[in-house]
Amino acid sequence: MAKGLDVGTMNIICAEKGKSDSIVFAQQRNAFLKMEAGDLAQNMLDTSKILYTHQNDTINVLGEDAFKFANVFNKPIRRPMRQGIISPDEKESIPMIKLIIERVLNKAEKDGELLTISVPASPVDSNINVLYHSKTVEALSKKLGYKTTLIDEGLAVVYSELGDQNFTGVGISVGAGMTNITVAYLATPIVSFSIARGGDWIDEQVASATGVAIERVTSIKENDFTFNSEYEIGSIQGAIALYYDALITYIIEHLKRKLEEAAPPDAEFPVAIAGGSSRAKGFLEMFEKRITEANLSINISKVKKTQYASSGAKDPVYAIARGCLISSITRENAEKAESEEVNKTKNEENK
Amino acid sequence: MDLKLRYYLGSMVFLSGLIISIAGIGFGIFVNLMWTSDPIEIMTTYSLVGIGFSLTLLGINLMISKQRPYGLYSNIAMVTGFILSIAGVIYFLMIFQDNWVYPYATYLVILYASGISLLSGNAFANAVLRVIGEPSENLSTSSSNKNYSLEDIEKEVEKTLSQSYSTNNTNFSSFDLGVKEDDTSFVPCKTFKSTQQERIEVEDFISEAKNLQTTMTGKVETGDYGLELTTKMLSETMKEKERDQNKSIFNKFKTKFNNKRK
Ligand SMILES: Nc1ncnc2c1ncn2[C@@H]1O[C@H](COP(=O)(O)OP(=O)(O)OP(=O)(O)O)[C@@H](O)[C@H]1O
Ligand SMILES: [Mg+2]
Repeated sequence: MAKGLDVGTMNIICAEKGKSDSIVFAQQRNAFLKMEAGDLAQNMLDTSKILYTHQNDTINVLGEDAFKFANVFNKPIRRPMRQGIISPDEKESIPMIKLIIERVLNKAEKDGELLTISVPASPVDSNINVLYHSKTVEALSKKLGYKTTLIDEGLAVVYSELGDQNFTGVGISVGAGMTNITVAYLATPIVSFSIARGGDWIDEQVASATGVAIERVTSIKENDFTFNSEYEIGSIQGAIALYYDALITYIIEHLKRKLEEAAPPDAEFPVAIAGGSSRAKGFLEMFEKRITEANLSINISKVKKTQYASSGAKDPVYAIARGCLISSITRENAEKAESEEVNKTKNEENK
Repeated sequence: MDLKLRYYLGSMVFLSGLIISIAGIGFGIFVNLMWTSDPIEIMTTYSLVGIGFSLTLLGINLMISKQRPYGLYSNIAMVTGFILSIAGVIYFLMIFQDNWVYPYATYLVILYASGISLLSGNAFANAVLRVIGEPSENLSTSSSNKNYSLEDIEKEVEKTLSQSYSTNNTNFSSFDLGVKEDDTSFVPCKTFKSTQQERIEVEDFISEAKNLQTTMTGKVETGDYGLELTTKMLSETMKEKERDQNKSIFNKFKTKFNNKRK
């Protein structure tokens, strides 16, 4: 059975085909919290089914629970991939990422099971090494028995959201550490790049501009913020709106520059936006406004919500894992068809 | 030489050159310079202007030129240019009174003109280099600091992973990727084994997978046996033709190559 994996800086999400016409998602936070062993009774952690590792005197609480404990004990969360990718400087947290990936992905049911993993494209505004990240995630998955393929995160959005448009259009994922953009024509990427800014950047900027703690900014941004409402100048929401707008402008500016270097074909390019930071109310409308003002060299027909977002309860963060799953299933079908073809010709030759 | 010092010196030279030239011109106006003037007045005016002009150019050169990558050549051109033009002025002083005739005057013109052109040409070339050189320099510095081959990275990842989470071996390797040494022997808790990750199921027909196949291969499943057979035959013929064509192109190359050898 094919699978798709999205290793984000905030969320690690795995998608696989369900029993009926459905997709099953498993999600964990890509984070951990370091604590002294004395702070906690280990058997208490065990009975509460909390995921942790211990090593001499330290305990690392992993995933979702790390956030809960961070509030209670007022300790800083560690997010190993904060800058967008696993960096060579963060080797000590690779065991944590490994455990989380194993947790959501599980071992392959049979050896050589197909897995597509989304990776960030090379960033245009920083010289971080994407290759190290890709190779690490790939090696981790191979250890679990998968046959892996890597695709750009933006392309995964195109696969998931632009099927009705023949996989032609712009796929954007606005995540926590990064924003990924791919312009595709008939499922083939023409332009693909990333930007080392996302939700985290907004949080950091607002926190340093207003002097409010970063956790508080994040919580206000996620729960109590809408674009285009009247916020007082100097309020936290006002600052969030300002930096959100700056992020959108920054994304579109880079897209425009990249498109001018390429020679995109004359077609309609709808835009699909996924990722947690696109959840903010009014984000899509704002983005649409800015992108029409920008006069890109391609013809933008519309800005689309992800399918899951429009159905209300579900979520734009799943689109990337879903796109990866689609890529895996397609590959699987193609392999099947090929082996059938081979068998057929063999049979014919035997006759 | 330190870039700042060079720049400082350059502006000093430039300014003094300018002042000397202006002084020369001022002197010329002051004494009402003509061809019939006293030779000493003519010589003073022209040598002041001549020296001032070369100094001005030298100053510009000093300010604008960079050390790399053509620094040596640029410096040689600059010094030669300056020496030539100053020699021109000295030569002028020597011949003006007694030998102001062909061919000496021509030598003088050639001497001074070549010095000045070297100086101004060098300044212009450096200005151009600066304009086109800057972006490429940025590129090279940003990509050069961490340049590992794909193989290096793969090996390193392999090594890290094999050591990162084994219960007894504790040290991470210290590949030169800026790694902090840390001893780790993490033991995952029982919950990892005893429970499964929570999962959510969403209704989804995943129709994109089939569409993607069609878009990528350009193949359409029709379910019509006749049509599929025809398509298959057509594609076979096309493939064969392509093969033939490749062969003939290859043959052409071969004969050409053989002809060349003969
Ligand atoms: N309701 C919300 N409104 C605004 N932002 C939100 C909301 N919910 C989550 N976010 C932000 O979305 C981000 C996480 O999104 P996501 O899970 O897509 O990131 P990721 O895929 O882990 O990261 P990346 O793609 O950068 O590697 C965080 O910055 C979070 O603050
Ligand atoms: Mg993401």
